Amino acid sequence: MKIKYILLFIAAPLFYSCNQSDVGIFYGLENEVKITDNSLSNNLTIGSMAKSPAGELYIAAGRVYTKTSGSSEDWRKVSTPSGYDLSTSLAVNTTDSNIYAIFYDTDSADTALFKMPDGGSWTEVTDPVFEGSFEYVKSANGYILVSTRIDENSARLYYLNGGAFSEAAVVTMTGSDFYVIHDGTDFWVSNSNILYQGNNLNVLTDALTLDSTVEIKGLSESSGAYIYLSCWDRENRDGYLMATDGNNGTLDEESDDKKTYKLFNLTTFRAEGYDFLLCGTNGLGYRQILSPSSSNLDLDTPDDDVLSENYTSAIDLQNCAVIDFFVDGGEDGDLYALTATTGLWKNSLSGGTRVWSIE
Amino acid sequence: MKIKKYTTLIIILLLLFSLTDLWAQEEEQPADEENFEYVYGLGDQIFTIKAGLIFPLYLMSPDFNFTSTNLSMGGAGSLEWSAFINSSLALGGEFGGMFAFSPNDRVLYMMPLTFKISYFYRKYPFEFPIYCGAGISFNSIDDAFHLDFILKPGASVLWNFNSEWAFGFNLVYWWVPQIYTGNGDVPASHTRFGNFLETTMSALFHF
Repeated sequence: MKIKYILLFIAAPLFYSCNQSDVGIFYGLENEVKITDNSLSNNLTIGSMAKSPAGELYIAAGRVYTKTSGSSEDWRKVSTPSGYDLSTSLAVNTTDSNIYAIFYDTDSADTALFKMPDGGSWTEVTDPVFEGSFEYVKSANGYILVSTRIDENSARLYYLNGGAFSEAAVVTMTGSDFYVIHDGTDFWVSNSNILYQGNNLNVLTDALTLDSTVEIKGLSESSGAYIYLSCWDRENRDGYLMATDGNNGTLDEESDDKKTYKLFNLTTFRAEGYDFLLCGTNGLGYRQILSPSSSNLDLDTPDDDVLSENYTSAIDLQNCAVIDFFVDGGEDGDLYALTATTGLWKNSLSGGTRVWSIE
Repeated sequence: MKIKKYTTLIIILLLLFSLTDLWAQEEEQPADEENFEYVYGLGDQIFTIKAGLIFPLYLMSPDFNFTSTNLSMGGAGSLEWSAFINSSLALGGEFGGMFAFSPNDRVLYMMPLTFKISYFYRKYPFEFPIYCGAGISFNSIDDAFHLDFILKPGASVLWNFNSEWAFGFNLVYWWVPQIYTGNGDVPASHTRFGNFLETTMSALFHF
């Protein structure tokens, strides 16, 4: 009888495992690579990131920071325009090579739109007279788009291509948050639960209207074949992906694998011959689809693939709210994950292997 | 007749005991050494406390790939209780722990709980126990936890300070097979065999 209990005690480890992670402890250690810290504070919220035609990277993280793409230099703070101290949104206009940033004055709560040439100084953009307070600035296909908030339920969307800003043909902006991509032919603009499409920003049509409880939290385009949408159903608390082939009003697929956490923006990235669709999450790092297609919309946890090195061992990233991505370069280029309150993370080639590290 | 036989037997036994006692007196050790010879016997117990360093050696995969543990040198310590079943052999148990740091300063903790068998070689005033412990190890890093087998063969050099206390140096090998069957979240390909070397100083009290 005693022998039976002793054998059970000895055999217990075979049956017992309580891993919060899906990576073996020793295996994770074996593959852990030291994360280098390139001077940015690790508790920053990175609102947006852009690259100038001259190869300078810019991030809006309260202050605006810059460094040369591909360099190992530290990030440098960019002077703020007089009277303003914070910026959480910026974009680069590839047409006029200016950096556009929205600044906020913490004393007066005043907001303003500024532009700056690479290495130059900020100039306020005052034409036209924008209605509301500035919220977001983004770019697509050489255009700059700026949203302003009128009140709790209404907003405006402006765009710039060369001359002055004009108001985009988005009929009803129910919130200032928007996403924009250009698929080579058409612009796709999402706002709240509506996806707009048009080959010109002043001729946008309603391509898709989701339930009023659903917010579109991100857009991405993959190889010109599909437009992917990350969605968050506030009422049912479901996060899921959708895909459309780009035809007006026809949504091909919706992922069966609905998540209970909020999804954020999407990006596509090709690394070592593999196509990834990456989707930020609220507090669980990012999720991904390898070789995405309209019939493959189920998000997986990064594990044992070319992008996952240091993802699971760099514990901060797998527990981060990844709100957006930025791709700098092609297949061998850098992939950045922009997080809320946990800094800027970079996936780059290091000794022939892609590794996540914090900037 | 029987009484005579018994009486003869008792006399012979008494004579034998007397002779043994005489030989024992002839072989008596100097007074300052006598306390340390064969002081252990059935039922004697020892309690040991150890503290020192642990050196992560390497990891091995099931296909015999050897890789670095990526861990720093760490700290280790343990408490041990054993009881002698004869003058040389002791059985007992040991509960210990170690910690070491990953490249990103994550801390690996391993807490082995082992049965232990020890064999003592002696050369006054030193003792040279060799031993092997086997049991389970509670392993964790961050919020991941895993229970694994552990095998701890080792050897020590002990110097007897007096009849109760001894101090020494210990060299213990930790072999930790971390086996994943693939039935849970962790794939079987993450199975690794951990190898560590513990070097500790110890204080031993026997009672």
